[in-house]
Amino acid sequence: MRITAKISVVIPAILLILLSCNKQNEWLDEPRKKEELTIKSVKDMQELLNNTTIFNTSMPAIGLIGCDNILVKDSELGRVNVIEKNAYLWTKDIYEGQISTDYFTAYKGIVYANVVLESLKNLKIESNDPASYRQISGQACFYRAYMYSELVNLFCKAYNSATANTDKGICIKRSSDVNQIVQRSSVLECYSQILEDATTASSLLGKTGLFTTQPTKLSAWGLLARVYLSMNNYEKSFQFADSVVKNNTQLIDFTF
Amino acid sequence: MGNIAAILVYSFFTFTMIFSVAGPACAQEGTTPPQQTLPQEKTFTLSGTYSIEEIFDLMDKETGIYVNRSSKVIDFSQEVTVYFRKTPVAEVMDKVLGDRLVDWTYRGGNIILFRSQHPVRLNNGEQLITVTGMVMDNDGVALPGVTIMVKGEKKGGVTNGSGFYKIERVHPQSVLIINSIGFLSRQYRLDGEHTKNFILEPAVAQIEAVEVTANTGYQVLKKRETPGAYNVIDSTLINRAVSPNILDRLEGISGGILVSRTPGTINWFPKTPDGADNGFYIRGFNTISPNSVNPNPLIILDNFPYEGNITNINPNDIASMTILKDAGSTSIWGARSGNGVIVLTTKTGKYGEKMKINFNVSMSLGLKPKLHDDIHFIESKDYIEIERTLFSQGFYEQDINNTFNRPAITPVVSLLLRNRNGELNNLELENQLNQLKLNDVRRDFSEHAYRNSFGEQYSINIRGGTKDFSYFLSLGHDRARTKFVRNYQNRTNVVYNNIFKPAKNLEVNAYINYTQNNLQIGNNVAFRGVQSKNGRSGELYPYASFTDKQGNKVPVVKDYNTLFTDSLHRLGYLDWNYYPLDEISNNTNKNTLQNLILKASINYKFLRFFQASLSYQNQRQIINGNNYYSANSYFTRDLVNTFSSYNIATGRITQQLPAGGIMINGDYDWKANNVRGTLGVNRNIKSHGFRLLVGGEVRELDAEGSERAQAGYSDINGTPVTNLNTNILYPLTPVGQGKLNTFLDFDGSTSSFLSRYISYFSVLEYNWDQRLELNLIARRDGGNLFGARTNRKFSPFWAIAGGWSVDKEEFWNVDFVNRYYGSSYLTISRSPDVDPLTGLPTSVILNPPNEDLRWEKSKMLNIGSDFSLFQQHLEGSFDFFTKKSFDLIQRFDVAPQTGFSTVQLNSARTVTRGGELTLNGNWKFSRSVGWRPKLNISWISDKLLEYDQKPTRQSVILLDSRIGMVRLPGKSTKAMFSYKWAGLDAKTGDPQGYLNGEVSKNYTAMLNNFHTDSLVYHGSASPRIFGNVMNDITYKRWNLSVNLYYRFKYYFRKPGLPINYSDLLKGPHQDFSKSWRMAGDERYTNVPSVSVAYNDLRNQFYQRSEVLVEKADNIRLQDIRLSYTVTNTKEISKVKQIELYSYLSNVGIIWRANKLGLDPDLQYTAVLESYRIRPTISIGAILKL
Repeated sequence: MRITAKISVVIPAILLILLSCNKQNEWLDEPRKKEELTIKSVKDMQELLNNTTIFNTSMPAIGLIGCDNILVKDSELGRVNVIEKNAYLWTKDIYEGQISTDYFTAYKGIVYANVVLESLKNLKIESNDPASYRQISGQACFYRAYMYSELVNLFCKAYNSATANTDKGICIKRSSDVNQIVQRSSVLECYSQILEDATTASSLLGKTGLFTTQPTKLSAWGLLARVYLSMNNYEKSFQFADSVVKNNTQLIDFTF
Repeated sequence: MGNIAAILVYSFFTFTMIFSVAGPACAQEGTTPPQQTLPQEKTFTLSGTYSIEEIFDLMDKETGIYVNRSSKVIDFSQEVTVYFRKTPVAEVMDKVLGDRLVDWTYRGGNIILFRSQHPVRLNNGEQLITVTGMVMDNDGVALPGVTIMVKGEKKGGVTNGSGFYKIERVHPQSVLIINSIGFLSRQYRLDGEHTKNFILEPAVAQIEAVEVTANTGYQVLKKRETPGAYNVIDSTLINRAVSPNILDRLEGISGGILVSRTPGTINWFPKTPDGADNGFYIRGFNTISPNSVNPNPLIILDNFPYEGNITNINPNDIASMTILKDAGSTSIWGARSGNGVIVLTTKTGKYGEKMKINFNVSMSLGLKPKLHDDIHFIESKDYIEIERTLFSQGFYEQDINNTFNRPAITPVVSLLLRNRNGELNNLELENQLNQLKLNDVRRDFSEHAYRNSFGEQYSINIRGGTKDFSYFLSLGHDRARTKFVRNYQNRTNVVYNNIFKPAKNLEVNAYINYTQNNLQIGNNVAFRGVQSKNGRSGELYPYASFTDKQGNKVPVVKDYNTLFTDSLHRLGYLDWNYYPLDEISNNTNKNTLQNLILKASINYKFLRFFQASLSYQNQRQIINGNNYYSANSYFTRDLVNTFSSYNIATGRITQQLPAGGIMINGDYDWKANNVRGTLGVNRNIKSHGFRLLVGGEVRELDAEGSERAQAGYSDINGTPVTNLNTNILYPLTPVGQGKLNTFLDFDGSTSSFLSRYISYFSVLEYNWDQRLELNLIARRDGGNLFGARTNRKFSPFWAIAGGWSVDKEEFWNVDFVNRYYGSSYLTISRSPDVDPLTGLPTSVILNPPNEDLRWEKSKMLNIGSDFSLFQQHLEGSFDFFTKKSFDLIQRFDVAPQTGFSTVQLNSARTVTRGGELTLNGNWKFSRSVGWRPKLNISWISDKLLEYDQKPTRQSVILLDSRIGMVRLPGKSTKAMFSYKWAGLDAKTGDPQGYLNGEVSKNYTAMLNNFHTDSLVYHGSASPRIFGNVMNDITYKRWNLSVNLYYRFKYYFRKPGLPINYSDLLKGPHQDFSKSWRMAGDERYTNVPSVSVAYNDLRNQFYQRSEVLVEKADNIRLQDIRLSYTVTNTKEISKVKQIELYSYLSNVGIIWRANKLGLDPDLQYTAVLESYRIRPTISIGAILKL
């Protein structure tokens, strides 16, 4: 009966360990793959924003393809992808049922910005680490504004103060939830969103960044200048452009 | 339902019959009263003539042995003359009875007389003898309760608990008849032996009914006591086939299981445990996202899930397989059981069993593939003509003038170009072209890179036991040289399984299972596998040759323009030619897997009804991959040259990669730990039986791996060059810039996988009077799957199974079974590369936040019965089931505004209905001729009830490249759709379809039209009806077994001719000869014209068109097995049984619905190897000691 005693201790002991819920949940919280991380710090957020391939080098190109800067031989056209070919030829149906890469890549930038903005809120960075908050939040706002401005230029009617309230804009997505689908807003709402984000960015960001690829107060002003220009608000456009030039007279050397 | 009722009415409840007979086996009236020895000292003296009555009376007075005369079998008044002097009573009796048809027996101090046709008498000084011996089964297990009769006499005996029997007073030449339920009866003529042992052959169909137990991995249950749909496959059936892979041996011998047939490619071990589709399905397809949700059945080896590739297991070590099909039997396994469960049980020894040795050896020869069977080929002369025509149309001009990336120019185009440039006259051109037309690259592949495959299997196991100890030790070794020259696989298995009984009621099990699996797959010169990365011909052009006329190696044109590469070689670059003959041996890709399972468990019975057990299992799997490309290999030379640059000014060449080979090392380490504790109660109160099992289980699988490429590797001293700058942009040849680590993983990469489960379960079984059974299973599973929310982490399961057995059995189950899926919360991943512009570290979003994701669920209802007809000559079972799956995870194209293109959602719903019918016959026509037919029929029909994704052009074309599924509610989950066909355009040979009811060539519109007027729904792409027919014919010691598979009611899409020349050059196809050339051809052919101008949509339309869909129904002769068995029954010598067998598998298709001679189950476009599977011939021997 000595052994019985042992067993009857061991089994309840195991069950007890299992039943202690906290330990159990902790044990099950470990991710399945080490490379799958959750956002835990501002460092993670900054790393998301460091992707120049998303925020800097994947700008919508279809406008460029459609203009006369590019020449493709007729014999080579068959090998060009359908959307680009149609854009080049100004075909009536450009997309032929396919998804626009330009549209998609812009929204990809937007969801990154939204994820970062949500994480800032969830991790209460604003109160815990105000300096980082200004830096990260400013960048995210800038990128969101910038992506929306590209989308508006490409997919909406030009801004007309008389009809902006009723002209169809693009979908303004402020959350990263994939199950939330928003409908098209008006052109006016789009511009308000862009101006709001860009203004926030300009107020949060510093005048210089570590890299020319990172947004700063000046780039936010530059963006505002361009947006106001599209809105025919030349006065404000001039104001912001002037502020940029006053603070930085250097040109970026693109031949790197 | 009428038919079913009829079967139920006519069916017998076999089991009770058998049990009632098997119990007291001495039943026959008066046959075998317990023999008692007549005391030898009792003698009798008398002489003279007396009546028999008088003699018996006098004998009674003198010896006290009374002869009972009440039976009046003889006339006691007859007179007999006798002369006895101290004669033993037995002799007295024999003399007195003389040749009268009467015999006697001694019992309880009396002699009883009875009638006998062949009374036993002592003649000519012969002695009656006492025969003793033992009766056992094939495996040497003693058989109690076996009746042994002496022929023609009412005399005999029954074996006791140890299988021993004893019959006294037997004539030395009598014939013994041995009978036992469940075994074939036999006769034996004694030749004066005093001991005689018998080995009985099982009567298979009957023994199943008596002894079948099902192992659920938690419990071993008697089949008749357990309601539920499952199949048990014993080792005889497992050992019928020869394949070293246990799953291959399951194919076509069990109902409800569909094995998707892929060509016999060499086994590959998965290096990370993320569930590639094994192509093995129990009761249909349970998931529609096989890449996200594990689609494989759960495989249990000796009570715990087996992590890793099932091909590591040696089939010779397996005693039985139980396939759990319905919810009632699978739900004990909880979350991972949704696809069914296969339980493998290793052989064990038995307490008190004599040592037994089994030896199994076999050799298999697989015939070299016939590459000429492949439809992806154009004869050299035709291919050359195509190139000529295209050349004259200026098709190659771009390539010829390309000084950018220097695409490959095939030899024919080069010749044509030289001719045009005046370097080659017309006569010489024709001569050379005619020479090339004689080449056939298939011949060269077949001659140099392929061979007959050859496999060997050796297996030896020893088992036995004492009163409180049993052991099983097995050693197995398998070797195979594959159909590719130089490639091989070998596997060694050691299993040690021990059970001790250190105290009464206490059992300890210790188990060790070790596998080493070696795989060499260095030769990758496969037909259609040598692909050009930069040229018009994708595969090697058909007129390529490995050797010149003298048999010396020659290069073939592969990636670059040879004029260009030759000029570089002269400058000092490495030779950039591809020599197929060398490549066969230039790469050595060795993979080694070592797997060790250690298990210990203790079992303790206490307080009469309780049983507690605790088990622990540790599994460790280590996989090493060494993929070495020698310095001479094309792979290495190509990479070195790509990273070389030539400085025109200095005339110097800079090589970024050091001299030497390239070695890619991979190391993977899996650790799995399981602990399980259970407590069981087993109690019968009058006619109520209760059984309760509760327990808990914790599992963890932690797998990690790393892989790294090394350059400048020396095979001799095993050292690489380490100071590479892998992240610097270098100039590339012929064009561009690149980093080393984007070409090969010089920086190394790691992978990890962690799976954790915590489960609690309870099983309550109740039976009333062994007639009504009720099972309740409840289980709660938690895993590290769904992120932070506990209520999503844990999932409950339950099942009810009921059974009623009077003269029928009927089962029904209802349950929820859920399955696993990955992450539902936002995850990001740190990129291995820094940002290309800033050099800052970056992260990317891996998985969108998707909090609605949850477990998949299914409900199943199963009704079934076992039956037996014609005095047990025909036994069988049938099951009907309905399975409703919901919350199935589907890939969902989300609006691009979310920033993601697809997400996973729990939104699909399916229903699967089906059933299985199994019939097993057993007829014996005479003593030596027997016939045992087996029939399995499974039928399945599934339907997608809900699917949220709207079909798009992409879903027709891209969703599944092989079967091109469109998922539409109301159709099969593996639906076969195609574009409606309107014949060929008589003017151009273009394919035509329908758009809005009109014949159309608007391919864009048709491809985007998902409505029924452009599409045809054929049916399911997976068999709706399938099964096998196996016939076993025994004649004396010979056994012939033939297995036919059939699959009906499904469709396949045959690969079509690519109808753009540039596609055709990349993927040749024999239909080219049937393609439309001129007006009028459309009356004879459905193959469109091939177009010079590239038109992708036209080709896509044709590839998915109705004309390429064929009925897939087929019957194939899967295998034939002929064996000769000698069982040593004379005495227990060393060898008890020898079986010699030959086995022919993959014999061929004997009927098919398609008229094209295609094997519908070969995945024609998905794999390179689309030639027919050729037969394998095996011979082997099984020796039992």
